[in-house]
Amino acid sequence: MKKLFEKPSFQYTFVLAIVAIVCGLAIGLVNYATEGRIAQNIIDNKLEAYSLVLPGFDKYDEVDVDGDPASVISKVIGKDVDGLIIGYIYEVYATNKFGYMRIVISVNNSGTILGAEFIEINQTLNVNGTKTNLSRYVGASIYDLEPNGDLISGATYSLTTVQVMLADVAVAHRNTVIEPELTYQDWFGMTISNYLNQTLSLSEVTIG
Amino acid sequence: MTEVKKVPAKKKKVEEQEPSLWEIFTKGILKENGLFIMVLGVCPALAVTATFEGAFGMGILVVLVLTMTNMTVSSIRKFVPSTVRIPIYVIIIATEVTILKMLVDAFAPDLAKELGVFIALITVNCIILGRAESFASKNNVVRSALDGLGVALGFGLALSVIGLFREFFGTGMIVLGKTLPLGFEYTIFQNLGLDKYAFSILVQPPGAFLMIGFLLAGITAYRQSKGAKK
Repeated sequence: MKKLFEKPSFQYTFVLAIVAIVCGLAIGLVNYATEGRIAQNIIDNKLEAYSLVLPGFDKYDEVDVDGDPASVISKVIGKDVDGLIIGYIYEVYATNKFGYMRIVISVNNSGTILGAEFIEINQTLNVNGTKTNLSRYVGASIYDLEPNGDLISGATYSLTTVQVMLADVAVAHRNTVIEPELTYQDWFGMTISNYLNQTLSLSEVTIG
Repeated sequence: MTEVKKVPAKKKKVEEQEPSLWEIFTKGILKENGLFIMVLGVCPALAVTATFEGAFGMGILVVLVLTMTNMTVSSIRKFVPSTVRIPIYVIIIATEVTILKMLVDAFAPDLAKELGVFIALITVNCIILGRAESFASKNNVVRSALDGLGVALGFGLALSVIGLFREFFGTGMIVLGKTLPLGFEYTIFQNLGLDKYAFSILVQPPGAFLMIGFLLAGITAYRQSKGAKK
């Protein structure tokens, strides 16, 4: 055993192994202590981003992402206080050679982007430019992205990543969107009670 | 024949005297500032100094990593074979940065969001490996800790100055409590209406080059004039 330790190659390997094991244990211990809090922070961030991208958002229904592009991690149907659908929120994750980014986008029934926000943006280059680029798509149609060029000089690569993410959202949105049911008025016009009420109020005005 | 000058024994002894703990601590802050004098660690200085809080936050993280790394490297220096010392230092630095990243993600999520990938990139900051190799591997724990603390404080101070100037001249105000978990949010100079005169390019990526360039030029000019006077 003593002879084995005299060999330099064994000595180097032994020291490296000990250091690596100690470091691994330290990382594992801290990970164990913090993982719950980190997961909760991500959920809080997500909910905050949901309410930012979809004004009036109160509750949501999770929808399965089977059949959607791999970059779409989750999608939910956003509802207001009365339970009416006000939009669809997509969480998208993508990587490029500068790192990774995670965004949430809300889209309404007709495909208009209502809001877009970064949950995480780990890019080594031009983070602010990338954020601005995403925000400028708000109001555009997800099926026909405008503007489609280089918006802010210097963030070209991340802009391409953002556009790929939005194109994936378009595919997911086609798979998800629920056409709203037509109301009675849309099918048959005004209801009798409404008609009578309106007539009554008109006559009141005339008499008055 | 040239005459060999004999150095008196007493004078030689004085020259070889080790620097005091105070000298070790202070030299990295101003005299041998990592960023402004040695021009090391420029990558984070360019990337995370758009806001004062982001730069200050990065400074705090570098202080923690550099001090811990120097202490760890110094405490194991007698057991580490010199052939594998660099991979061991890299493992130690990477571990400390990973642990710090998890702690920041857990307890300061806004700072983690602001600094993004640059927290993980502290691992490859040349100041940290440089101090481990040139100082901590040859000195005891106390001296190494003070050296790490001094150099990191100097680096953090430099980052904060750049961040302060960039945010103030780029937006006309300084926001506090938005990124760091201070427990309050306050904007300095908000009511002065300076935002109309702000140079917004300073908070854009080219602004980092401009600001660092101006500061380096100013410091170099000051040092040269001081040297000329002497």
